[in-house]
Amino acid sequence: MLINCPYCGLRDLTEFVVAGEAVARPDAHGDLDGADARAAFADAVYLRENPAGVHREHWFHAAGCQSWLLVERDTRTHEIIRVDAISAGMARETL
Amino acid sequence: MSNNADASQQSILVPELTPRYFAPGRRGAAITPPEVTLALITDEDRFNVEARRGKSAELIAAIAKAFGVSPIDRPVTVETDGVAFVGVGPARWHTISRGEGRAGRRVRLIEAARPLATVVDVSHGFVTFRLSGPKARDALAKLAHIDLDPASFAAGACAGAALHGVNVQLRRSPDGAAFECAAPRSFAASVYHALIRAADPYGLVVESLA
Repeated sequence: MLINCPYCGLRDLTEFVVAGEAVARPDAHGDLDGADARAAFADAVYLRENPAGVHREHWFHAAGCQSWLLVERDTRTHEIIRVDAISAGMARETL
Repeated sequence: MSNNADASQQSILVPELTPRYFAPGRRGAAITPPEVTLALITDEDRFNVEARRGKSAELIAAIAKAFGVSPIDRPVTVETDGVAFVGVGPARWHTISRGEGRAGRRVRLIEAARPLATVVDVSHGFVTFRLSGPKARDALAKLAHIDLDPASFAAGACAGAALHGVNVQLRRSPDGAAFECAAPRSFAASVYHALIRAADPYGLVVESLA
């Protein structure tokens, strides 16, 4: 399987580390001990959609340019639909 | 592994930068002339230069003003007199400075980049080998996971890549004649032995470039 890294180009799967389904981290401001914050963090840390189909994952190009990537992939076919580099300016909800 | 080279053949100019495993001499198949040359580069300063957030364009301009060439934010090398800017990641370069005048270039780099980037001297973190000769690519291809054909790894190209299971900074010289492999120092002995093994069938000369 090849992943098209936006910086390095097409590279072998073995150069990457997968960090699982892309889940936005909950807002870390305010009362972190409150019931809502605890529930939100429990969701973000433990709960996954695990769809049969298209979903988005975080990958890290460990043996290459060391970029974090947002990979859109079909779990049934392993087809990679889209790869974006994660940048500081990215909207929170896209992560 | 045969080790027929005498330790006294090692460079006396840079003993502290010559690894203990490094043994210059003729190795491998008895092919004349040998088709691969592996050289240890010892007169090198290497800096990791990473632009601060949003300062990439300003950094490139500042370096262009100081050195007369603009680093490119892609995996390619830009070289000028004694210094090369090698793209190693988004808004990140290895600046490689060799030979005479390194002290002056170090100061110039720091002065140009300091407000706009983090500059870390990683010279002692890496050991750099250069492979040249008609079979250098064949030897390297046995160990690398990337396509080294000139169509996809052209002169001046560079890549962070796994080589013999070690993450190295690989690049092809701007004239296309040689490959350079900068391995993390702790893993360089393993890479060195793998390169020698890979080049063995072609006949190999190991030498030190001071």
